[in-house]
Amino acid sequence: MPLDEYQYALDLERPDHTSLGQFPAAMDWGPACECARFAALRAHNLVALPNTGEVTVEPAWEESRGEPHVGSVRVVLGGNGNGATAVNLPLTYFRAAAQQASRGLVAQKILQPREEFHYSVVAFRTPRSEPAKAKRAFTIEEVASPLIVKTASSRELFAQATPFGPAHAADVPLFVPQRVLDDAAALTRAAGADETAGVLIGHVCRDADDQVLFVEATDLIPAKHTRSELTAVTFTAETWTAAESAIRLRGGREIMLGWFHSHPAKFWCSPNCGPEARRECPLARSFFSGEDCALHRTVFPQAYGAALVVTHAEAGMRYAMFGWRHGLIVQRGFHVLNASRAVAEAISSEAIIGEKHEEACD
Amino acid sequence: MIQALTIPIRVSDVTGQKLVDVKDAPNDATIGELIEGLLPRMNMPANDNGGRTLSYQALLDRDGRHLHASELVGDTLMPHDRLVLQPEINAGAK
Repeated sequence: MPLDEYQYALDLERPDHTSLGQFPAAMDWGPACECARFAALRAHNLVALPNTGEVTVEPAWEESRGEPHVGSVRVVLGGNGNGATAVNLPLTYFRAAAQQASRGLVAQKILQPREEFHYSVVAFRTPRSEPAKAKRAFTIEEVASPLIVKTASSRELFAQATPFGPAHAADVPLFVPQRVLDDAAALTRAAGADETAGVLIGHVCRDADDQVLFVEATDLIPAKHTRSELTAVTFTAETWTAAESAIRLRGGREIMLGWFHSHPAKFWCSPNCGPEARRECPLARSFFSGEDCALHRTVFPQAYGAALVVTHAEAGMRYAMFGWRHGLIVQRGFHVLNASRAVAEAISSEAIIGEKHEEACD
Repeated sequence: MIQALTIPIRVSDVTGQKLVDVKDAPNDATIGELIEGLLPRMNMPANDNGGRTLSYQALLDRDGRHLHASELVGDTLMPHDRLVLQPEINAGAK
């Protein structure tokens, strides 16, 4: 757990600066810690992820107003020494907490649904207190990260890769073979009106020449023992057991990089819609729901964790990749190895993340 | 012979990337109590997107069996056993 000696709160206001109140924010610094650990791995040519035990989280005050007004949050790994790594999180890290607070205001009819509001962040130092005594006390010690960083050539992969989706300089390059997309599409097609899922596996790599980190997906393991429905798929304990067994059987020292799931959007469309409307259906837009975000946070909090969403639209398959950037889930670009013409020509549309997405055709 | 009151075990998440050693898991704790105590300290969410309690199962790596929450640590586990905490969790259009 990171060392955090501050209590954060959000000041919400309307666009005309009318105050909506101050709300405490219980922050989840887990993704921020993972961001700092991966930044250290990138910056210091480490062979393993550093432990989370040395992470501190502290506010950086606004230049204009100073304490307690927060301009950004600084996540520091490794103290103040030469080997320390610091990551600055923008205030967008508090966006989910602000949306949570606004939902209460909507319930009280102080705000209308989707009404615009602004937020700023304040922080107050809290006295250190003894942690609450657990029902069952026991001692745990973090074990040094077992992540194996494979030495490989990114130049060879770039030579056979086609970029797809929105690129960003902060993102570690992610390479995905065309056949992984084909497998995901085949699973999606076979599942028909049900959502389906899988586990992405591969390696975190370091380039032999320039030491730059990148991620290479090698395969997609279909998720077994799931419960699938029109708008949901449930990963069970047996799903994870089967995936781990498959990885062990392969013997390739691959790790779980992330996951895939499908959106059977053409089956969500109203049967009353004509062919033209079905082709333009808003339900075919890629999105990463609140539940998807929660799954990604729960199972794949590592900064390299990726999530592929395949939308089965009337016009064909659409692909969108999501991942972590500065501790937030974003839509991200990736590189398709040996891309098919269909993928090379496909347009990646902007996805909705977490917020309410389309639920009906009109 | 005096029996130990606690045993050491190793616990990981499903990816294997989060790994902790529990130095002294109490013999008389249930697996459910052990999981409940581990989740916050391994920074693993206890609730889903809707605030409902997430269900985690513990897989005993030694024999590939999912343990019941009511089983006792002392009856079920041996020193240096490895547990994998596996959530039952939804992805979906909500």
